[in-house]
Amino acid sequence: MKKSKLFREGYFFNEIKKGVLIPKTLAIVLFMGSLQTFAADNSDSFKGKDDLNASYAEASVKASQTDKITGKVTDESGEPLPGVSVVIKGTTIGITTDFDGKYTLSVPEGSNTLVFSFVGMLQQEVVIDGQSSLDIVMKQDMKDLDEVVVIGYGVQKKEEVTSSISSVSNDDFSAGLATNTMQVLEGKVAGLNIVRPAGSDPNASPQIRMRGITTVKAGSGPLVIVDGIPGGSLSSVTPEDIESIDVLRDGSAAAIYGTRGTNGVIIITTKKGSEGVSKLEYSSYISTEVVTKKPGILSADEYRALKKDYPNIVDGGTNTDWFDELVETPFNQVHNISLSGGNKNTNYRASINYRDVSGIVINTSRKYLNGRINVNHSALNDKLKTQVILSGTTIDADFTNYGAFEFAARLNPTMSVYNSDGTFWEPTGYGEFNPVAKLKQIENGAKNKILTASVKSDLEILEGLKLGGFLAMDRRDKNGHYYESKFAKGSIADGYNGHAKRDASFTYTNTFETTIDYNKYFGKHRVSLLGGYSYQDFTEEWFNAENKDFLSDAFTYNNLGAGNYIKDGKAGMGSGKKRNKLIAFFGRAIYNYDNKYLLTASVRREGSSKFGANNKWGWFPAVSLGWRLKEEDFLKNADYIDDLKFRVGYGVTGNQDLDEYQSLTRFGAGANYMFNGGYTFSYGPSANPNPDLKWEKKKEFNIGVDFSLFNHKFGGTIDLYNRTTTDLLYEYTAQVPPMIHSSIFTNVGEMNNKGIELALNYNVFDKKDFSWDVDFNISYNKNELVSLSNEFYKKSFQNMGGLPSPGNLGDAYRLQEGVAVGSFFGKKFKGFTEDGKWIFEGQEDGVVSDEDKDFIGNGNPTVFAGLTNTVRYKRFDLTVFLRGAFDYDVLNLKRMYYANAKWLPNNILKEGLTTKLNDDPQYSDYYLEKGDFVKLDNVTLGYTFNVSKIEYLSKCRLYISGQNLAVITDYSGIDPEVGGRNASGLEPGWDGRGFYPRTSIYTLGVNIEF
Amino acid sequence: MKKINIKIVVASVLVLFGSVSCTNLDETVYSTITADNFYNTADEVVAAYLRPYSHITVYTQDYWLANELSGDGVAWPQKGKHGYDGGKWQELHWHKWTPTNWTFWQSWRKSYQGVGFCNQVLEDIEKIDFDEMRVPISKSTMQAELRALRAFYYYMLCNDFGDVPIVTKVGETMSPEPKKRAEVFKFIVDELNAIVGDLPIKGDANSYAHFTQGAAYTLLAKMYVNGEVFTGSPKWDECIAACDKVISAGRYSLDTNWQDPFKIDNHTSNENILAIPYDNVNMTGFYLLTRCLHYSHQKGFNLGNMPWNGIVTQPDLYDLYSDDDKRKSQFLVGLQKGLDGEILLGTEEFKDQPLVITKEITSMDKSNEREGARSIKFEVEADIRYHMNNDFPIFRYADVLLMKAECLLRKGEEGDAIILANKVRARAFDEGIEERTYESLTLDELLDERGREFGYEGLRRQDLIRFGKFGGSWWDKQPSDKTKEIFPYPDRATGNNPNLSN
Repeated sequence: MKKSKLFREGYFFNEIKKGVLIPKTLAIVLFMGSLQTFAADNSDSFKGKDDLNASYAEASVKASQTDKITGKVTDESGEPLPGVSVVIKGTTIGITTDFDGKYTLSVPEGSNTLVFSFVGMLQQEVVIDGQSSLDIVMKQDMKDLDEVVVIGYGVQKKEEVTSSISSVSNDDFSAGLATNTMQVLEGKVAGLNIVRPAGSDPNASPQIRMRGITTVKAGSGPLVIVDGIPGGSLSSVTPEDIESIDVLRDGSAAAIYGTRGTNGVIIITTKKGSEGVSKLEYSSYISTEVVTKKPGILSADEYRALKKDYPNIVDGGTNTDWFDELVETPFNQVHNISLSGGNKNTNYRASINYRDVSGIVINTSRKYLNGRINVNHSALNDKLKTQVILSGTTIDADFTNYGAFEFAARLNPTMSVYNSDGTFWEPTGYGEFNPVAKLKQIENGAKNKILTASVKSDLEILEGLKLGGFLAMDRRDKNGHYYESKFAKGSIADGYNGHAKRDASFTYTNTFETTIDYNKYFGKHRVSLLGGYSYQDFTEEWFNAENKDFLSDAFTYNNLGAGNYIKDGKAGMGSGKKRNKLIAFFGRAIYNYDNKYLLTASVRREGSSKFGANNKWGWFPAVSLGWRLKEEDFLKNADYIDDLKFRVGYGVTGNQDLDEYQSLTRFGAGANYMFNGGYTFSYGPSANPNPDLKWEKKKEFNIGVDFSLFNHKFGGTIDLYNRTTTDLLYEYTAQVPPMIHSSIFTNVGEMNNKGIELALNYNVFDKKDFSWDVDFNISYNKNELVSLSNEFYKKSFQNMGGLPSPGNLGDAYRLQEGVAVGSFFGKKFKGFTEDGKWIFEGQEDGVVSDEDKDFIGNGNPTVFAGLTNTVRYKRFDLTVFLRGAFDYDVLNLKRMYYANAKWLPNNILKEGLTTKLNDDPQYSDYYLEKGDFVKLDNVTLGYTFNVSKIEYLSKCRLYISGQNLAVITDYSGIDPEVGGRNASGLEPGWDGRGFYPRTSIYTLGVNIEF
Repeated sequence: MKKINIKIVVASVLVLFGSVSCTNLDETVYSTITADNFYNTADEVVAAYLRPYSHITVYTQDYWLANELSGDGVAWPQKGKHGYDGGKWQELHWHKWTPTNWTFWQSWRKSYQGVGFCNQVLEDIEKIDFDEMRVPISKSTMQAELRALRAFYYYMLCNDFGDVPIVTKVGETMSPEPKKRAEVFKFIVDELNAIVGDLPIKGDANSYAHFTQGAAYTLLAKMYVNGEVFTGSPKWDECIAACDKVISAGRYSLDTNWQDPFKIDNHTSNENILAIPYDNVNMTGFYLLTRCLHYSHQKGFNLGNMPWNGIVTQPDLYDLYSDDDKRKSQFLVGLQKGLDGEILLGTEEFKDQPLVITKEITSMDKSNEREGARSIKFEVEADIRYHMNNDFPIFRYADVLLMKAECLLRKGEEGDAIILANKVRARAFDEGIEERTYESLTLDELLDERGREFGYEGLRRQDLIRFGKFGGSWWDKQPSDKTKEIFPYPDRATGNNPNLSN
């Protein structure tokens, strides 16, 4: 409904003289209005053009004799609708309704039908039959609400889409504190999984994965496109500024992005100004957080009581809750202010977003400021459309330390944080530290800047033929700092007297793209052709320096030269620079026969400088077909079906997310060697070249059904996919000879993911004062690492995920052919002996060998689901959002080490006193737990005030929101949603000893429009 | 109107796409060096030429371990819970190794890495104009040295693995087939003979630690003395001829003191023909003493790091030395004291008890912290961490003399052989000691003398094989099969080369 606002505000009325022939310009305006969804996106507005031609042709009809007719147009709730086009059928005579929804029209003789049309509403034809007054109630056109989706290099009508694409508009974003932009999509899109392993750490990035894991060594994140810039920064755009996010899920949709399409494509479109609507919007929220669960360790008194049984326990005489010492009550605030407006030719939107998230952990915060300007202008009679977007961001981050919470759990709770002299108490054990001191004595942060600028122009040079140009610059500067006090434990123990570091990096990306596209109707055939060229270069420079041994803490990291280490030749520094390029040619053809049979075919020919000389360029073709059964005669009259479409698609995508220069013979320094009696440099090849190095290739087959039933009461989408990645990159033992080095990074393996995704929406109630919508999505994915070997390069398995000391517990995971990625491999627990010693399967022969071990679990959930309930009652709105992940295991490392009396005199979990176990920790399935959970992720209650009587206010909404309110799970740890040990997805379900506290977040927010 | 529009279209398309002819995907490097942005100056050419040399550390590391620990002189027994290391040292001693022994793979890959480094530079410098760039040595000398060095790496491979692939260009061909050991032998000998004239001579500005003519002839002598093992037919006369080239050059002589070639400042030795110029800062990678000494010797010798208490002397080797043999002073046995006379203590099985090192060792798998004589043949330097400053002699003049003596003896010319052998032996004894010289000499006696003279120098396995003793038994080792005279191809090498199998 938003899109219709400009007409509701009645912007164009001044130009209209009542009852006269509509001038051509107005016809265009009206027409553009009705197709505003297209125009706003510079998109395929061919259909409109066609109609427009028809209008021109009939414009010669002259009114001869007239009768006046008047009336009022309202929407279903009785609100007057300004800007509704009222046209006498068969003529171009017409008018638009005024501010009060009223119209007056002179009807020529022989005309007897009025046509009422308004964007987002169903068009109505009403017979006049001599009436002089006609009041009309316009009905919403459900189909129109989500009319277009953004596809690569353009938009497409939703009904025409033949691949798997999800579109999420701003209205559907989760409310409440978003520490990262992607958070608003959590659980909203089937197949797109977003996990925040660090909870609400304001500086942490989420792990984003589309349809399972496709790679073992290349990057696993989706391609993010922000306002046309491929690889744009998520940090440069805030949820408040986003109009919609479109997610290209399958290969046939993503193939237009070639070497970067494999992990899916997320297209972010920011808000623009609207014609005729000038407004000032202010939205703001404040939030605070509460810890949901703490590790179940012994209290100081419980710990102290053990002293009689465990004489090595020292009673420090204090009661300290180390965890509580590390947390504070945060006050987070977010403010967003935007101005927007425009006229026929130009519109603009400018916004400022400020976010100050202090986080629940002491000395941890993120301050964020973003400014964004978006100006659109059309010239040359609308034939030249230009868009300029400028966005600037600064981020001031204070990083936390996850290790602090490990020590908060294990340190002696009877010791005081401070010594009597006010200095920090420090434990003496190797690697141990006082976590409060760690956070207070080390300043670890960064000041980052992101600047993006883009200009985009479309020139229509012939009817239906457009040339486009896009130029963008993206620059990111990171400026990190670190200072460890002279009085920190490390400084004293290793005698370095303070440690200061600076590190800076500068990345800049230049993008240049040109497109040509052509749209044409031939009777029932519609053809849309696109051709293009894309150039991007990516450069990164970095620099770092460090020094130690300072006279005073006063300098912190601000006077690096003052330390003594530089005088001793022990200071460190480094710098570097790298660059890569991506160049592509692409083309796409969309064919539509009578809105019934749909075909999209695309191809991208793309090369990266990172690929080897023998494989610089790859082909990435895709084809998809759609069949809209609803348009067939046999369903045309089936009223209960609004739409029914079958889709099938196949696409080839790539993954080029690997480091630069890996295909080349790189040189590095060897030891200095004797030359002419003295030592001098020796330089030689430091890595094998791989002239065959190329992208990982993914072929994906997708079939899907989109349906909408019972007058849009019930709708949904089902997708089935089978995606196979070949040419998986990995490090292999090279052939030595003839190669120099024994390792080579090359394309060998194969991985498969199969799955099903289901998204349903159900409109339970839809009454004037009460509506209830339910959205549900669920996805299932099955992963298999098919192969890691070929003729030359062999690897039957690879262990990974080394468990931390103490104890030599080995690796937790194994990558193996024929097994799903993320599988735990280890001993199988059978029981305990009488005296509490471990019994494992296969132990009878005295040793538990590799043969006795097995795949004992997997940390990647196979099922994800999300459920949104949206209820509106009068002016109240309520959203209840549940999210879950199922069928996976979590390795509970806290339990493994702490739930064991052998861990004493470290503090232990209470379970350690009750367990039968009386042995050192060993890695086995004993410590694997089912991670399945359902979270009450978000509850938001809003109230929209009636501001119709307040002249200067057009909207005011107040809401409260609670996030992460409850978790239903059997998992005994703090939170089963742990993500992975790293972002790769190869070591998932790792609940480490160090962590960031999980919190519930409570938010109070307001949105005001002036 | 239509026509004009078409012109606009054409013009626009040309403007937009015509300017877009950029399809160049070459990589630009900045902080990375590749063969393409290297070799711009004489210094860079020299740095490239030194890379195969600085890689020669493999000779004292994995190659050394495989060739010493499989012999009767040196061993790395398991002491309590220490020194098992996956069983690889025990496998070597007992001759019960498999292709998975990590030492073989390391020795194989690093030797071939040396070959590859040579191949890379040889190819790269072909197109460089040395005169124009004012490279301080001639291209022919550089090429000769690199080919000699490559021949040396092939000598190591031939010595360890017998039939091995011969590759003279990086990356070509893939899956190379192994050549017969005799062919490898011929390749090495032909290469050396082809270039020896272009090599520098000892005393030239750039000759120390480089492949001189003397070093090349010594390598030829090494090839020939093992010619019967490598090719099936003896090459005694060829060996004598090569030794004579070294001897007659008159540039080398035995050092006065037996230990001079192993001192901290041994670069002045007149005996070392080719040495690895190890240095604690520049040319690191030699830490034999860290492998050998007891933990408490850190304190005893004021070392910068704690040694590993790993490698010890087998009783057989220790017993070869008579008490009058000055070379026996290299061994640490008995009560250990620090430089200041303080008694050192045990830290493991004999924790806090005086550290008394015994010659006797229980066995390879059941030993303790104080068993096995430790050798400090290479002089110990205080205050350094890990990397020793002693240069490592690959070829010594003493070896040239003993190789020639051996060939003469094998040819039945015992008298001339004794004269040469006595030159080496006499230095280890004070004058007047009866056993200072041989009156008669058998091959067994000569092998023992080689054991005494070249212990810890990486030659023992080769010598034992040549004298037909490698399959015999000693200390904790039982007789072994003749097939053990060649190391198996490492599993990692056979795993991805279908033309290579054991």
